[in-house]
Amino acid sequence: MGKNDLQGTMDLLVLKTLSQVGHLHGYGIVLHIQRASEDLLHVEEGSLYPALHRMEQNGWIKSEWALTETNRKAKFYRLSPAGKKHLADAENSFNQLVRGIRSLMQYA
Amino acid sequence: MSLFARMKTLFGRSALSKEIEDELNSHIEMRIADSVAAGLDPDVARRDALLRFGNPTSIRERTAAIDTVLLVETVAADCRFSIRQLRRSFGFTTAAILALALGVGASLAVFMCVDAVLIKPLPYVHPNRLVDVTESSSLLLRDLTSYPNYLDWKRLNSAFISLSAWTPTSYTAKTALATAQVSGTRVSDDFFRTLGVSPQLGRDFYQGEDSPEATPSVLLSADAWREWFAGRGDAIGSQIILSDKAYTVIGVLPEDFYFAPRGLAQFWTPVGSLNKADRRRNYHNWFCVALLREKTPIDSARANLTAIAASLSKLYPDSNAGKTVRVVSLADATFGSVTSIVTFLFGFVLLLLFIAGANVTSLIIVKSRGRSQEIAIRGALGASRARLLIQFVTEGVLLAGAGVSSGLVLAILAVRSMKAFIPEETLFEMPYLRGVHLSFHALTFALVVFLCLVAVFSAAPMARLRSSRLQADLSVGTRTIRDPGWRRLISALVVLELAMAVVLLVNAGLLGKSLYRLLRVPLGFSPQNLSTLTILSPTKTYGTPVLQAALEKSITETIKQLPGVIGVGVGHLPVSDNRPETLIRVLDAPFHGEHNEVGYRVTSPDFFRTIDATLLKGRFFSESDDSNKPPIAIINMALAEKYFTGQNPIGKRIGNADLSVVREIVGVVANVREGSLDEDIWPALYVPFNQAPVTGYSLIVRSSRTDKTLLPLLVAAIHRLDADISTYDLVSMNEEIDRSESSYLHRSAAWFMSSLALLAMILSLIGLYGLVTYSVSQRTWEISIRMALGAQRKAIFELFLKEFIWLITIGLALGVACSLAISMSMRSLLFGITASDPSTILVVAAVVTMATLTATLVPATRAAFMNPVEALRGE
Repeated sequence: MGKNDLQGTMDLLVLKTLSQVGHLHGYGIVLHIQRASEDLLHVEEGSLYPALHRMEQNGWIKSEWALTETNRKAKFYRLSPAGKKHLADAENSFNQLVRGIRSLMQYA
Repeated sequence: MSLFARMKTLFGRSALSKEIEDELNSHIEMRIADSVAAGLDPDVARRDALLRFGNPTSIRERTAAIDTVLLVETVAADCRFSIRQLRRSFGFTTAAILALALGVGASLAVFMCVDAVLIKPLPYVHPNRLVDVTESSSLLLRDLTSYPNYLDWKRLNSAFISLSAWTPTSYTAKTALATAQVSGTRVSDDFFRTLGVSPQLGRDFYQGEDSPEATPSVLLSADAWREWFAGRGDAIGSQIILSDKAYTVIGVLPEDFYFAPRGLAQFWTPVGSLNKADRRRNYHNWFCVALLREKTPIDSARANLTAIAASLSKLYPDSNAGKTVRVVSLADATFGSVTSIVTFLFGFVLLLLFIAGANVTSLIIVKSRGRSQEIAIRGALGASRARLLIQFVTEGVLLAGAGVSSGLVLAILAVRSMKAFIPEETLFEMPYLRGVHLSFHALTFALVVFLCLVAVFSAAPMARLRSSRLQADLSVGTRTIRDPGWRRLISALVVLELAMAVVLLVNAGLLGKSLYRLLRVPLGFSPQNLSTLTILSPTKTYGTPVLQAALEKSITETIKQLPGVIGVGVGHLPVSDNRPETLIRVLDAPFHGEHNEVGYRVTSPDFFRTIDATLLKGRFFSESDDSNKPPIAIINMALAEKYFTGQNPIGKRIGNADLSVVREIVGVVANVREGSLDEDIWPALYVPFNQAPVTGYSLIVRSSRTDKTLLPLLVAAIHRLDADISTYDLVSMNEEIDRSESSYLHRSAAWFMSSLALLAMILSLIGLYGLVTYSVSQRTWEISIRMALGAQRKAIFELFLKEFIWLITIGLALGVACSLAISMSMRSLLFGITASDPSTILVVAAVVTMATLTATLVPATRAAFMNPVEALRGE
């Protein structure tokens, strides 16, 4: 519990974003999470890049420099096969966690 | 893949840094562009974007820190930073490393000795089950044993697997060049089996080989094997002539074999035939070593032997009354006094090591106080506590590493020079000193010291950091925050250092004074320009008392003719050994079978005049006191005091044990120091050479020139008379005194302690000086304001002095109290003074007070004379 789970949540958010959008730069990931969560989740920009870097070191995502639609150079990330597998695991355990917490909250 | 990526990032650190920076920048630019598009002012948008990010440097650091392999680079960077730090405060670093090197070097060197003497077992199969067994009486704790008693012990005991006897001897051996005296040991046939030593070549003695009927055989030491047979294998079975008797070489002892109680011996022979004296129960000439049965405690062996000795006393009251037995472990018998000396020295070097460590620690604390601003800035820039701890540990490792490794080098050099300075004879008597080296134990000791130092050195600034709030440090800067807790800790360290330095100084003073007393102990003769040598004439040529007396006369006459010779005497060599040798009975006095043991000294007429002894009563011997006259004797003061209390001994008569010879006392001489310098004077009986000639004796020659050059001339002169006379122990009297074990031990202990104490004093003065200087520098502001408000220089001066005089007083008092306790237990190493010798303590107190006051006054004066305006502006 604690720190690791929060970190795991950040990983889950980023990986899910990449699986939904395909490939995206850091700023785009921040915006996507904010938009898709209906403005409920704000990713701490200071924590995003260390997380991205760590996931890249773990081989879950791959990166390349490319041009954005506004012709700006940015580093784009995409999911790797290992990342896909990890995402499935993470989603699974996240759903279990949510189910568990919900049951606990509704316990009469 | 990921490992490769990490390796790649390790090498391309700057490229990685650049890439992260680019990525972050592009993020910020996109955020700004969006905000501007939403209608924000570009400047506000930029500030907003940066604010969302926090500190970009910190993010970059954190992003890069993900690479675990980068730890290596961090360590390298930390080392570089630490080295820069240490180099910047060069004075501190040099002082710290020097202090550590000295402390570690001294303690490691002594530890190596401790390892050789106390930890390493003796080189035998069951070193812990070997015991030294001797006769004992109220007069002589460790007497020798008579051979008949040994045989009875051996037969009756139930405690030992084997009990072996040995006695030192020497043989006359002829080589192509000269007739020389060689050292040997006569042993019972099971001696080497008791020790568990087997020859590297040939065989051990067989059972019964020590009987008089067996063919004489000899085991060679490895040295003798090389010297006499050039290490050839065909030595086994060959014959050698020792003292005109043929011996068959049956084996060679192992290279590393030593038997410290005997010292150097080249030829090991079985007991063989016993002379008349050896068959007597009151002729104590043998040592015993025994192997305890398994699981037999030494106490029960002692009880067993004591019971046997008691029954022997009843059986043979003439010889054995009052005689008991002493059983101690062979290790104790071997190391004896060395053990206590080494233990004390080790305790003292640990004190020194503590002082060095405390000193460096307080310097580090002082320095970390000065660095608090730097640390606060690093903290503000995102360095975590863990990061700072790593930095401190790195500095600690570097400092302790440099200190311990230079200490290691110092220790190796010290041990090497110690081995070079120890005289050969001492090495033979203490062969385990050869084993002093950088052993595994010693390396472990060095490692433990290193780890302790690192722990203390990194914990001290970290604890200091924990106690201070970083922001406060940053905002106030160097302007003083009073930090009384830490000042108190450093003060406590300085007090402890001072106290320990006092302990070392007092003990060094006591040992030094003991040495002084020892070397000025009244000798009863004057040792200047005296040359001595011992000779042994062959019994074959000089078999009768008349021939022996004639030889002595012609030797004396020949030597007198040599240029520069003033006088020649024959007698007992002073400062060598004062073992009692004979039993006397005083006639016309009540006698109840007491053992009146006295030294028996065969003395030529010129002996006393040659050594310059003082005649108290009566007369010296003259040439006319020969076998035609009634037997006479001269006694020393100790004998006169013991057996003729309050009487005039001249004209009184002394007989030997069975009164077969009765001598009339003709003179009393002042005590001549016959044994070692720290022993009591034993009663001595001097008899004229002409009335009791012997074949072996010492010649003492007084000359007008430096004694060393005379020795070869003496040998040549004697060999001109008869080449078969063997000569040995050529030495000048001053040399004999210098190298005697007691003066050697006292001298080395005194020198060692003095250097330790000096080091300790210097280190604790450095510590005190550092503390005062620090205190002054921390309070510059306060002092300036006081002065600006009108405080006199004198008041400032007194402010500091008062504070530190307290520290000095406490340190001194604590030190004196501790040293009183410690030197009490060191009494056995002292000579001629008490452990609480007041003058030594007073001198030490005076020296310490002077030195510490000087160390305080210099910085305090600097404080009193500083310019307050400049000081305030400087802040």
